[in-house]
Amino acid sequence: MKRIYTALLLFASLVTATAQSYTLSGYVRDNASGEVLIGATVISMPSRRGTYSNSYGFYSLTLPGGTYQIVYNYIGYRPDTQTIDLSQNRTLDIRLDETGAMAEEVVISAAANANEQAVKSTQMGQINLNVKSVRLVPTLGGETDILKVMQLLPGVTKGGEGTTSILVRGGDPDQNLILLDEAVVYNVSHLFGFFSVFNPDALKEVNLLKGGFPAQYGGRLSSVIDITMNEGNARKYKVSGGIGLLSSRLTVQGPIIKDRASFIISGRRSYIDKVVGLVGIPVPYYFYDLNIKANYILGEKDRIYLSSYFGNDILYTPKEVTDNDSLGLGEVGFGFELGNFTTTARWNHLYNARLFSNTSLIYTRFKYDINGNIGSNGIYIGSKVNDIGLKSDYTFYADPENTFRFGGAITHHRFVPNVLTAQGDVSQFIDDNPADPIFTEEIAFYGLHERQVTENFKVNYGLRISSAIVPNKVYAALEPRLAMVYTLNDQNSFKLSYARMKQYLHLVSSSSVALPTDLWYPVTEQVKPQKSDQISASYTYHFEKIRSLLTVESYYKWMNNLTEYREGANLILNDNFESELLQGRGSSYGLEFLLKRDEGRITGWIGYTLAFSQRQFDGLNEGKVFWAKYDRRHDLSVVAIWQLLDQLNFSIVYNYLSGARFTPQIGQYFIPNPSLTGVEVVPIFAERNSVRLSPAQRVDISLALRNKTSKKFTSEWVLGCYNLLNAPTPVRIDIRLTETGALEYTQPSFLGRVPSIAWNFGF
Amino acid sequence: MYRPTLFSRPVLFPWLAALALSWSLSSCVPEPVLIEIPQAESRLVVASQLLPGNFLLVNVSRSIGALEYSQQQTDTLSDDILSRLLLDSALVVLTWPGGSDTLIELGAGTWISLATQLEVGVTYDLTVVDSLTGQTVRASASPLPIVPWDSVAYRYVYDTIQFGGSFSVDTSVALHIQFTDPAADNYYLINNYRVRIPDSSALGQVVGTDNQQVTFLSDQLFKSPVYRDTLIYPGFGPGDTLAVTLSNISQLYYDFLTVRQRSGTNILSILLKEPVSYPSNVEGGYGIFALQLPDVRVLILR
Repeated sequence: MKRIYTALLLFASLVTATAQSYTLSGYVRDNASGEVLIGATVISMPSRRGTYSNSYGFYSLTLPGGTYQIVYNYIGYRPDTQTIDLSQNRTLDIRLDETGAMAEEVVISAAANANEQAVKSTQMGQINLNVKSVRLVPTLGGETDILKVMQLLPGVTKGGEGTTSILVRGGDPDQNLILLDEAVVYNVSHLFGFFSVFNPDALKEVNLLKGGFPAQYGGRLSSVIDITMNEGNARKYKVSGGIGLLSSRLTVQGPIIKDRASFIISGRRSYIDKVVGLVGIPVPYYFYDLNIKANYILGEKDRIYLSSYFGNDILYTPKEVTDNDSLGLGEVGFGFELGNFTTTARWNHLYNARLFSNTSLIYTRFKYDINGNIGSNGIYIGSKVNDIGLKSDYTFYADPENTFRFGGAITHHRFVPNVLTAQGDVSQFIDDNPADPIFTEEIAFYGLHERQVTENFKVNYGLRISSAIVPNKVYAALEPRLAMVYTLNDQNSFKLSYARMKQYLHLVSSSSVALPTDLWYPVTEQVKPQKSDQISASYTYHFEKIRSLLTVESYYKWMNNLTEYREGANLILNDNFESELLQGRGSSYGLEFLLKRDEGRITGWIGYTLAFSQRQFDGLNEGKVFWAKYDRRHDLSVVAIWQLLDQLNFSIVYNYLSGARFTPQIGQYFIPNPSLTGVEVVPIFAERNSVRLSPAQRVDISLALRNKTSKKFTSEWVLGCYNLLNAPTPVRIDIRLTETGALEYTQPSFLGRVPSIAWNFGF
Repeated sequence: MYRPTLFSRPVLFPWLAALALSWSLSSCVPEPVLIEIPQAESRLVVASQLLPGNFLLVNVSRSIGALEYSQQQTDTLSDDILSRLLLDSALVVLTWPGGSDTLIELGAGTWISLATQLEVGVTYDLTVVDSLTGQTVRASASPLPIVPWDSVAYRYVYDTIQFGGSFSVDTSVALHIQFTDPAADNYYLINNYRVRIPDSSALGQVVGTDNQQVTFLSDQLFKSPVYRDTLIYPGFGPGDTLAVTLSNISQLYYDFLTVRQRSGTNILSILLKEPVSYPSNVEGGYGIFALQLPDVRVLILR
């Protein structure tokens, strides 16, 4: 690994040596808080050559010697123009002032610049969500949820109604690489999948990638959801929080050393157990999250970050002997606890103005414990995944025409699936399963080069070499990546990309819904890694007048070694997953439209997806091709956030979604039972996923009222309603008896109108 | 200059809160949406069993739509559905190399072959033609040799159970079974019944069974050719008469039983109505044409 880095660094030095140019570099920050701004545009005028600030706010722009007007821009911030005499390498940290999205006095629109850069970028299938904007999108129960907002984006669909389950471009729920400050988050939901684990107060930015994956990303087939936590206000102490119907939040942030070190602590807890408990109704369930982050600027060239997330879902029933214990059962108790713990320690180092590096040490743990007891009989089921990883990434900004990235990562996984312990008489029937740990290693190296070939043509090509070492087997793969853009002018471009992805883990889930007992399991000697090849093409247009960006993108994705389980497979208390597992193929294709506006009085987006997704498994549906369960044909979303007044926002979401697929019972027959003492009814099902549920339409609204921004104490009331029109959102097909005694098929909904109210504050 | 802000108006927020409350009160789950789904076409269903003496008994019925009967609503099984379920008349023919036999109708969808004693190792083809619709189904099977019990013995198992402040004893019977597994892949079905014999009837005349237990096995899990196991059957005690049968069954029937067990015991599949497909060897129809004869041991528990 060291040799590869040395060679790349040497190559980078050669490029540097041949260029007759100087480098302007630095960090872009929010002036009030000192938080770095991710994706701020840095553009030299009038040539309009530019770059973005990276995930750590760092930018590097190398230009021929001369005097330039450099414009720094970020959406929602007042642009800053600096005249730079670039006769030597320069370092310039920039602080931008927040203006609010509706500021019309901004002469040069930040969104226009960002859109223009997006037109010219090779990156496809990427959508950035600023958490500040996302907070205004109405959601279920008034709980801001980035994953549910993401479900409104083209190419992304949801699993069950109201859940945080995400399926991207015809993929499966376990094919999303969800990173929180670079740590993999295995379980992304609370409350059986209805709320995500991501506390919006702790988050800064969310970056979704659906295709055209750059070589630095790997490990999942369908998407990368890269979530960045806030760093904490480096200038003054701030407290903020909120009280909602379901949970309350509190965030404290501030400087440790002004402008040099800061921290943020953000916590959230549901309290329905406490509130309802006051009136004597026991609700033995709650969840909580805790996000902590601190960062320290060691010097001009070095910064360190330490971030951590800890969250749990807890169900507890107190062990008690009931008064009416006629059965003499004694103590009865049941409970579970499941959650994630992630910690990331990062070190940013600037070798020089053009070579930026980040090295991360990452720890992730997901575990669940379930226990129950009746009298002296008890059972415990547990499962755990522990990862420890080291990752190093380098970016070399050779010049505006050439950027190189390279790096590597190693992750050590420790899986302990399905530990089972029984005590008392029940242990006669249930064998203990101590579940020996399974150790696997995932190793990957990558390199990519982004090159502006001509004024109109830019290419990004790279290679990722990935491998997994599992007991008795080593898997290795080459994952080529290619993305290119042809720019017709500042408003129009065509893009093309190809990406191969490999996945060395899968989710063991015996049903179509997310359960606490779902667990992650590595590839093995028999279970091969999942693989996908995706090509996509897009057209991007920047509507200057309305400061909006239109993207029309099509894709085709082939998937191999997908995993499914045999019909009726029961994986609970079953440690022999492989005997129940099937591997097969899949394909998906579709067309996505996105018109997005990030600046102005009305912001939001209109997204539409036309999608198709199929599967083929030898052991399912008689080996015939069938539609994927969440093959939703049409998905139309309109999200509008309207700033009526300085203190008043009105937001509305309209969503039309084709139904998921279902396999209903369409017949039945009678047959003698095996003991020949009676008959049994055997159901006849339709072909797998052959029936589509009825489409659902939903309107959600919210109204946010704030006090004057000039006041020290900020207060905001948010009134909202999910599914305002109480429209049906079918989730399955049932057979019910009518009043006339006949039977009919019905499609029940899970959620109807759900109003919400929340109060947020800050000082 | 005064700039009106909605937040500053004291009357507005309570009004909105009241609105939110009214929304809360009107919260509800939408009415289910009806959907039309084409029903599976009615097909013939075949089931079979060998009687002592290797005589064949065949049951033929028709499948019905999912909306014609519900197990949860047993009163939905109307006379009309029963009449369509059961075949009035059909031609049921058994053929094998060098011979054929038209089975005799016993009524209620049952046909018997009294003239033909089936031989182990011979492949028999069954053809059923529905006289009403002309629908034809075919299936083939070969009788498997009887695998006899080596031994079946029993003992009682007593469990003390506490009910409130008092204790009671629950009796189970532990059957120690043993049989020798022949070479090749074999699959077994073990049935256990309580045989009820009325006092007035002649000894051995079985008029009913209850408390039947079903166990099925694949010899791929056996560690030696001699299979020994202990099966615990609760609810049996002194005075009960127990019939224990061992049948050498086909792999197809074993797969059928496996699917049946999975679909009946996986609570998630049941709740989520996830599909389970039953295997069949009946071309153009449903069911299992299987030819197995059990070895029976009767135990009178003392």
